Amino acid sequence: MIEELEKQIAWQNINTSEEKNKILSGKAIAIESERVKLTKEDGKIQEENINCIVVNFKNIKVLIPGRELGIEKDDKKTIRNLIGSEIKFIIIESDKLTNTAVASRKKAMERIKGIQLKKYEKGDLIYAKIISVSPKYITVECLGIDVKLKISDLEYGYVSNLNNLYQVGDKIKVIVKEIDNEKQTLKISHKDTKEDPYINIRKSFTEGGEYLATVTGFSDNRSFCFIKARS
Amino acid sequence: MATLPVWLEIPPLPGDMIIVKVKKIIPERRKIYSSLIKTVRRETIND
Repeated sequence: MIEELEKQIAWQNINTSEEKNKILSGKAIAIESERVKLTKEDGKIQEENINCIVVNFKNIKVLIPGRELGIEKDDKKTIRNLIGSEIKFIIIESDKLTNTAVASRKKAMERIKGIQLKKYEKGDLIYAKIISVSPKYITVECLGIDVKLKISDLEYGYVSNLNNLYQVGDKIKVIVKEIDNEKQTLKISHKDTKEDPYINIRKSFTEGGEYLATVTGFSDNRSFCFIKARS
Repeated sequence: MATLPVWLEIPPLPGDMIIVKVKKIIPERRKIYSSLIKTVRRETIND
């Protein structure tokens, strides 16, 4: 009975999203190659075999085609990075009989961008959600825009692999460095929300002192280590 | 950044806890030079 009710509510959400562009979200759980019907801008319906992210929305299978993800590349390798993250989407088509729907993340991001970008200005502190992590950079979703943050935008010290520090789904605090509502561009930094450890470095460490440290990397004759500064 | 002693056969690996002696602090170059005193805890290495 409860299951039936939950299913009904889920389908109500799907229908509202399809009709009124309501933004829904669900966890990306897989990649599948699907034969998908897509309605083109000129109204024609076209069938194609494409890579899709599968999102679980309250036990309804929601397929988001690669080109509707709104990411730089829609190849399998790039799409794979999104697995495990919470994806926002708007339903394009749905089929209650097969319990599946086709959605667009791009459409959802455009809508969020339109609403959110004008609310913020340079210097504002906001939260961004990590949607993918690679050794040298992470991608975050912020105000409806996917922003790539390199190690230099994230940490003051040496980092060998960002996978050791960040996880998909984490929320990080960022500061708005540049925002353009017309061009819909955004520059943010996570590093600038933290205190620069080098400003008061002589208060934390003295020459000749011995300190406990953790090794973070090494080269031929040198190691890099992290020493926690006293606050 | 820590310089390793010449007698060291296996350098400390990422994750190892070490004790370092701070030799020189250069805030304007964002660097601290130090030397390795002792490895406190070594991460287990699988053969």
